[in-house]
Amino acid sequence: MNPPILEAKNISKTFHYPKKIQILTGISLQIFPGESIAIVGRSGEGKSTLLQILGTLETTCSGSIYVDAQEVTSSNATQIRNTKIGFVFQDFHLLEDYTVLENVLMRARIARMSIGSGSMARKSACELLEKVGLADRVNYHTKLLSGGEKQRVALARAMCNDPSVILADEPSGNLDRDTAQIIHDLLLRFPQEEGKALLLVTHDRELAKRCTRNYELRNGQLHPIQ
Amino acid sequence: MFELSIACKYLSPRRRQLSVSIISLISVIVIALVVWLIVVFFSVTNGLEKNWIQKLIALTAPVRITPTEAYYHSYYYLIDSISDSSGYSKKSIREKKESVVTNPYDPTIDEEVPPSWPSPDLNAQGELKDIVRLAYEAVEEQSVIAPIEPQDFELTSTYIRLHLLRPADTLQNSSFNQVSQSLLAYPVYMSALEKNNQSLAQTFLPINGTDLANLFLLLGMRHPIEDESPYEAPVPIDPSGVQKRMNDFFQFVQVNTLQTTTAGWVIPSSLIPSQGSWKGCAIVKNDQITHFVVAPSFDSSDLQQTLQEQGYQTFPATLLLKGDQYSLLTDQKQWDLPKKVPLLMMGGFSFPAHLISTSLQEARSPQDVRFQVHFQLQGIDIEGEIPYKGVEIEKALVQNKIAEDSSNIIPFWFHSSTNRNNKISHVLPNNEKMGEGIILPRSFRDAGALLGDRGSLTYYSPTTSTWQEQHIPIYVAGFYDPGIIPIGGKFILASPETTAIIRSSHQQEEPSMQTTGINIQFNPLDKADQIKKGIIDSLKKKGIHRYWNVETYQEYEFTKNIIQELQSQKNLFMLIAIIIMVVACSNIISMLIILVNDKKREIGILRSMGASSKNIGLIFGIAGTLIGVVGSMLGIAGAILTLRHLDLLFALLSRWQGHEMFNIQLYGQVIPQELSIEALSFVIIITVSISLFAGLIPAIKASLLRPSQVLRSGG
Repeated sequence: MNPPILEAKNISKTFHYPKKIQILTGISLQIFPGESIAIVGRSGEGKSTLLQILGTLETTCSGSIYVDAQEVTSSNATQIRNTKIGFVFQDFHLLEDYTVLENVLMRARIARMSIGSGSMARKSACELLEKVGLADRVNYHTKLLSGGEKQRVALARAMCNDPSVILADEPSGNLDRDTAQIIHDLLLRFPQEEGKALLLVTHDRELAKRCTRNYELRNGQLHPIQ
Repeated sequence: MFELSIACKYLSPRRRQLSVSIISLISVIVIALVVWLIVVFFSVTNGLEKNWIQKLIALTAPVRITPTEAYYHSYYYLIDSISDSSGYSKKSIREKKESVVTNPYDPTIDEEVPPSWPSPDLNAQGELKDIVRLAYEAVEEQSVIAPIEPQDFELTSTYIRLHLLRPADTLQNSSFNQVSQSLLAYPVYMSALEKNNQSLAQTFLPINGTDLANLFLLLGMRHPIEDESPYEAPVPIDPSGVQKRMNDFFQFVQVNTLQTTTAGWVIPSSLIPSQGSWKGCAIVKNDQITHFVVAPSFDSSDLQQTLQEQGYQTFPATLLLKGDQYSLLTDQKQWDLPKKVPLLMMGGFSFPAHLISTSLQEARSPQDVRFQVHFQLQGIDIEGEIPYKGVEIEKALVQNKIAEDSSNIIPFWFHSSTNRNNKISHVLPNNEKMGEGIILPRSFRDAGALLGDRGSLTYYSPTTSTWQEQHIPIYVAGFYDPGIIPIGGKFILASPETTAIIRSSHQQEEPSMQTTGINIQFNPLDKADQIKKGIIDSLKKKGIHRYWNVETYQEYEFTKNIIQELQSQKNLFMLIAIIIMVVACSNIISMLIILVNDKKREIGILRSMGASSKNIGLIFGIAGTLIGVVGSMLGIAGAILTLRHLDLLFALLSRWQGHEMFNIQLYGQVIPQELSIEALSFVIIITVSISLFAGLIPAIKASLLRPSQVLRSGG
């Protein structure tokens, strides 16, 4: 069996402000290539916190995270985030002063890759935009796009630099049903076609059902849903 | 570098971030203004300092060696006073250098060496060390550092008297028939002119028309000293002598413009047209019209006022020229004058003129020399010959560079001569009749002295029973600008021979006065310390360092304070500049803090894509520095523009404050306009480092932002 792409071992998280509250308690999780995992749960249960911890944006109080069998430490977190993890947010979080292509290429720029015309990074960014159906919007400013288009740009951006795992936080929370469907299809194709992993946090039970495994976050712990 | 492109994006003006745009614009403007001020101020002050130091060094040298007390008490120095072959007199540095024998003492004929004298300083061969020649050797050894020119100098003091003979300043006195005499007498320091000191030339003041006019008129006068009755009217010298002097004068002067003297110019009748009219003023004395003063232009109102101020009874009128008859026309009437009255012009009216060389052969005095003139007076063409009467030289081409062997005639003024090897040396003229040419500091010109003024240097020479006053006849052969050396105003330059005569009359050596020594000229100045150290080491090696004191220009007794003062002022302004710059750059901090708050979300997004906290810090650090750099660039560009048009700025400021912006006495005639590289580097380093530092605090704030917090979207 292939080793897990992302592995969480016994992670806990406690917030101390405004009052002490333990939000995650000894969570362990393994995501294997080709898998898509959905985490559902009520608001405030800590789904986003768990996602950010797994994405190295937030630190844990105890436990450890491994990405491609490499333990995440404070020194390698940004590099792992840049090369192995892609994020998709509910609010899209695009850089509004930049064009669609510039947004997608930003990860490559941060990785100090060449992004000039004819470069590999630019070529693959264009392919990604084509894949999400935005080949004709390459030079648009993101503020001119619709919600669905914005989320597709965010998706292309998350896939830039060929990450091992995509973490999506309510990816269709701000979209209408039809548009959400397009996003879901694109997202779920990623683990299936690329042999990578997808972890998403959602309220959408239907989307959750389409994933290979489902968990519910309740009282700081993950409970598998059959 | 994505940090730079993001920083640029953040700083580019946008409607959404108006407050940031306004603050960054203000920051850029304030920094530009401060940078402009600092660069202009520093460039001007650095240029002034450079000029001052150059003038200072022109008169002295970047490094000089002077004898110490040990030298004056050494056997080597004292032995000449008891040696027959030295004429029983002590020798100057130059004499020591030129003397054939090191030890002139001959025990068979000279008196016994006093037991109180120190024993002779001998070398390994048991011979007396030649302290002066060894010192020259030590200096020559330094030519590996820079090309060196050592030259001995002598400084002494004397008493100068100058007789200023000027034509009396009253209308109608157009020659030396009436003169005013005044005497300038000062105790002065005197130094020998170093003929090979190239930097000396830049301190010399150009010869102007007034100088030439004065010199030319005085060519016809006997030296007051010759008569020993300086307070009586000067006596003209014989015509053949005058002719030769005038011929010599015009060998080197080409007159282009003459102007009427303050005494007024009587227009020669040959120049007066038979038809026409001139506006002017009629002068009335005892109810008779004695003169008619022609106005330089059609407006005669100023002329009337000037004449009335001088106490003349006058009225404005138009003179009608009708052949043999003059008529006057006023507002009320017109009448014919009973006889032709002299037509005058007041001082300061200039017109082109050229010497008629043949007139020199017949001229018996400068007033007989004739000039060809051609000009317009109130629209009437005037052409013809005029004598040098009531007019003076205003503009002329003066030759002050001659080839050494071109002729026996040399100019009457200080000039430079070039020999066959193209080596330039300075020449002080020495005229048998007029005396020794000397060069005076600017203060003498300000006191009224002009080129050609005659006088004497006084010293006392011992006779068997008493001291006798002696005079060396001199005349002014040029002026120089001593800069701001405190004793500069009393520092005259004369030939080495004259200086040596006067110096030898002073019996007491005062080592503290540095009256003699070796000047060491070289370029560039910043090698001074290295050369000083080299000389000291070499003197030590030769075992003669206790006889010599080696100083750089920063250490001279009379310059130390000024150089330190200049440095202190510069440091003070530098401190003020840094404080102003800190205040200017503090705007950057507020702007960047607002920017960080505005861009929190974007910081989170970049962090989620793998940007490290260092990357984020760098973005804001670069933004701060960019403002500093752009501000500096604008400021520097403005400063370059200002420096190019500095005259305009100073003229404006001078008018605003009601008096001259810079005192010529202190700052020289030309205010430096060169951009100072020192100022430029200071400003760039200071601005960049302060703006970088200002960007640091917001950058740290930005880098410490937790991406999870700014990106949280519920859940």
